[in-house]
Amino acid sequence: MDKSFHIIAKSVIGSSHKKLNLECQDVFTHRELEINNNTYRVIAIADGAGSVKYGKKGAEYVTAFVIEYFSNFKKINELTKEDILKLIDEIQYTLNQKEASIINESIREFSCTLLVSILSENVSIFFQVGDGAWIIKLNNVYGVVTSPQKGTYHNETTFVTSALAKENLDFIVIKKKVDLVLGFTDGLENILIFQNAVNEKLVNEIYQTCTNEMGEDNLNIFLNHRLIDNRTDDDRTLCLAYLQE
Amino acid sequence: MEQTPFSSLEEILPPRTDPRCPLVLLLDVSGSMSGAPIKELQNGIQQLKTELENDELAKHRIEISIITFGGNVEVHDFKSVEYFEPPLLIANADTPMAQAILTGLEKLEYRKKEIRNNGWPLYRPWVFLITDGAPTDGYDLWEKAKNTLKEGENNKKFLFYAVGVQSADMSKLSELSSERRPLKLTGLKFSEFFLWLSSSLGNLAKSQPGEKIALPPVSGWTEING
Repeated sequence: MDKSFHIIAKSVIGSSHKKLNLECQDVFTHRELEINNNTYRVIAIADGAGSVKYGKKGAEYVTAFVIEYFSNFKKINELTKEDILKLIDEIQYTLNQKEASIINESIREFSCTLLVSILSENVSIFFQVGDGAWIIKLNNVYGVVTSPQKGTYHNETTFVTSALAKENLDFIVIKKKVDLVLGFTDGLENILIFQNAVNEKLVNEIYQTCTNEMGEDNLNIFLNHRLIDNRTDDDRTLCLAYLQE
Repeated sequence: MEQTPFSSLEEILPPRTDPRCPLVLLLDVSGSMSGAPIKELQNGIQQLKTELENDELAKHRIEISIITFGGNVEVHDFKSVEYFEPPLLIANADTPMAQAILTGLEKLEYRKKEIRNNGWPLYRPWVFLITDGAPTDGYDLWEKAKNTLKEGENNKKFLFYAVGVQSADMSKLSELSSERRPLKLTGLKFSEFFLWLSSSLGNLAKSQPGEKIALPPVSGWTEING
């Protein structure tokens, strides 16, 4: 059997949503899949827009949909950008049918971003619509594989629920063994990425501190740290995936 | 001894690259504002500074420029909250509102360019016009100010709000924006208005490119509940 990716992940509410008595609008979920004798770890992260009525619900729906979609997908190794464009169509169609139109709301009220990775020992796939990012360590080198997407202004981004989603899809397949993966929502962008490069010192510190038996507690300490609160009022999710020895 | 996790976080965080959100306040200081209105407005601006100073993120993000109009147009250029000193407001003479709008928008575009040239992330700027009267600087200039504002709104250059005080000509103010109607300040509730403004600036929500942005819910300072 293949080696599988171990996951440490957490979402924490930001001060802006706390002030407004909202709950955290970030959602993450992951599942291990066995397909054709290969082991895959699918991770889905979504950031519900705070400015709409059901951002959290949208994020929950979209992440659950993605996990189910790939659970039934037999040819993950052959996945193409076209497949993801179809997935976006299906997300929008079913979200509209099963959630929005039932309560006479527009799908816009369920706006959220989407970050997905499908990890296996030798092939890893990453895609995203909106802000946040995926960064990886490959052959001891760090890189941003899918980047935050912004509009004219920094607080504008594209949502997977919108008509602009497909043209803004960022998709990449890496046919090599990836050692470490970090996926995160926009609250952590300016901390983990600086001048378009990975903040390696911080990622190393997170890796060393959060991949032991106290990993989840330590990740919680990091995400709630006053210095992080001083930099962002956004909800923040960090998902760390690494191959288990 | 075991170390606390992330005890040296400060050393490994990158330098701050806070997004900048320019705020332009176009303030009527014409003769009709003398007495209680100008005093309350002065206190309100001071309160805005205090509130923003107490908000760790807004303090780093907001840049304030004040353009006053009363007899002439006076520009107080963009300053971060820390360096912003509310100017002394003195009510005087007529109301060159159109010239103030044009000057404010020109200064704003210049500042946006500077922010972008410095590589700093930018939030869509906010422009507030506060007046108790009507423009006195002539038809042509008023038309030009209206057109410049509408062109700016259409191109998502900024978010514009007009606030009328006491006997403000609300129908004239409603000519300025095709996206938002002017709001009427209840009595002289400048304090409540600036509290709302500082709290709104501390909670800038995310939106989709090109999307119309709704005014954060207003309460306590205007007759319309948003």
